[in-house]
Amino acid sequence: MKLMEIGTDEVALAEREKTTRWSSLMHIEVFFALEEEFDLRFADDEMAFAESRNDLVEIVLAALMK
Amino acid sequence: MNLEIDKINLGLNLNDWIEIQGKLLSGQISRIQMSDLLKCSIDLNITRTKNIRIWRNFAVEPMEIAFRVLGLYWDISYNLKFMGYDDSFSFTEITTEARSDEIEIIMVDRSHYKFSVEDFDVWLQAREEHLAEISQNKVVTVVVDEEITIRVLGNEVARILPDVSSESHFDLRYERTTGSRLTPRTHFLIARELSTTWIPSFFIPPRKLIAVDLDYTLHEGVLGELLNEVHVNDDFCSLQDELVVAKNRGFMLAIITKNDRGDVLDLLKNHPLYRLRESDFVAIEASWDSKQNAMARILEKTRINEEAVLFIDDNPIELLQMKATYSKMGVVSAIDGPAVACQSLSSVPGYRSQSGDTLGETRILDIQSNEQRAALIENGLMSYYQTAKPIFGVSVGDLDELERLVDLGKRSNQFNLTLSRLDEASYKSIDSLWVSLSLKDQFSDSGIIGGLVIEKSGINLCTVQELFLSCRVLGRGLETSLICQGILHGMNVFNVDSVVVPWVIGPRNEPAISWLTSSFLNEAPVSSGSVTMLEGQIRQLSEPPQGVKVEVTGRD
Repeated sequence: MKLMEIGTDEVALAEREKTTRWSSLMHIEVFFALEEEFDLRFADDEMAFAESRNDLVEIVLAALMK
Repeated sequence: MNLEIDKINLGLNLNDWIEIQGKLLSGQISRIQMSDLLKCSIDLNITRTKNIRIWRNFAVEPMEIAFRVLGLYWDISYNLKFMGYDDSFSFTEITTEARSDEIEIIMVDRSHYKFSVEDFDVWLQAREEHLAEISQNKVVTVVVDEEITIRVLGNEVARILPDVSSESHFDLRYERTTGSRLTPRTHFLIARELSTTWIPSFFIPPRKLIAVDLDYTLHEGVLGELLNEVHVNDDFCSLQDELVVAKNRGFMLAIITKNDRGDVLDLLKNHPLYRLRESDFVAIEASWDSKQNAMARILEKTRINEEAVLFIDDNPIELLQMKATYSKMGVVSAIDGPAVACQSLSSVPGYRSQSGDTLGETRILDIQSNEQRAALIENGLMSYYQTAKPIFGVSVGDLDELERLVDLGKRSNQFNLTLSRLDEASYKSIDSLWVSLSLKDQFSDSGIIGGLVIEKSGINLCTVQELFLSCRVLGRGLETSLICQGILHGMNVFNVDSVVVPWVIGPRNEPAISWLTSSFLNEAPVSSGSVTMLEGQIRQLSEPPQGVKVEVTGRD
């Protein structure tokens, strides 16, 4: 969310469809940053289908639990 | 400058700028940190802004953040414009709009094509030439294949290899989401090559000298009376090897260290693992004086500008003070060790992109001989002329010397009257001729040290299109007669009585303007202009001092 410059009050509601700054290229920037920050590797379908901030949280948590 | 507060590049103060160097240039800064650095740069006054247009057949946007941050680190603001995806690279989006797109980048993923290697090369070269022609801009190409290669103006200049820790540049997980199979690390490596080396090669003045510290920079330990207190492991060897390569590419080397001179000379002579020897250095400043003062002496001795110097040191205070004193000097931090310093050195604009001065050895010998010349000149210029017996060389239209002249003309900054930076085609144009100037004396043969391009511009008139001289030959009282010998012989070839000598006032060519004022003008010019000189005036000024000979070859 920091990369997309979304304010803290908007973070919880952030959805790809409704957030202008969440472009396809910003989408991959987010995943690059998440892989870097948490030292993870996401599957390509995980990257392709994340549509909201909650999806991202779930994907990261699931990866960390593995 | 307040070292703690004043903001420089990337919105950092000087201390933070130096501290971040190793991590940033080696790619150890996270994308979020880079994003934060970009935001801090928004309000800064960047002195260099370059517009770049990127033509591509795959997604390259992920490299934008690193491209821009690395550029801003070196005070270059890149405006990147990404054109549409086009496997044909037909460049149909070029219009006659006013936007000045100064540099064109082609990024091509070769896997999209079924060409043979040979056919692909031919096709790509044709696309590069077409883009250069229709845009009138310089073209850099990145070819993504099993290896990644970079081409500048159609010539391969670099290959990007994967890091030792990676097996490949590619991770096919990303292709579905990004349209690019490149890993984030590869995006960074490409961005670093382009933004710090190959794009700046078009506008950053050439670096000419590397000044390096000793203790904990070139070796581990503090140099004392015993050589075995100094250790040179593989990483220090690698940095020393890099400097040897740099010297062979034409860089001058200097040492700046707070040590006893005798101990330093002993080290260079006798340490069994040292790659560098005393003869590799044009200057060895080993004293307890400040390093800034030592640097001042080196700049004086070599007659080069601070912008042409790279300074390497492991001590953050020394780096800080040097950069604060010489703001245009490149500083390379060895704080994080020699391996990181080596990497940082390779990412300083103006370092790797230099083609190398094939007469670097000549230049070094020349500078080393300057001390002997200076000793004679102290007793008066006649003393120097009678003892050293200098000989001018004036060569008109010699094809063998053309490449050297063109290169010298592009490198000369301080004694360059017109700043034309002509290419070879301009030298060879139908109404022009080139004159190379050389100089030797009993101490050394300086080789070609200057040149002129003169164009027939009227029935009884010619015009100097290019005039430059290497600063290392200044101070011997020979510039005026040498240059006028060149102009005179050019006028003789064209059989004209008058010559127009233009000048451009640039940021660094004060020595040329100063010479022009003392030789041709009544007062110092305040703006660019030209002066017309007659054949008789030039002939008079071309007379060499007593004891100096002239050798003329070529057309006359």
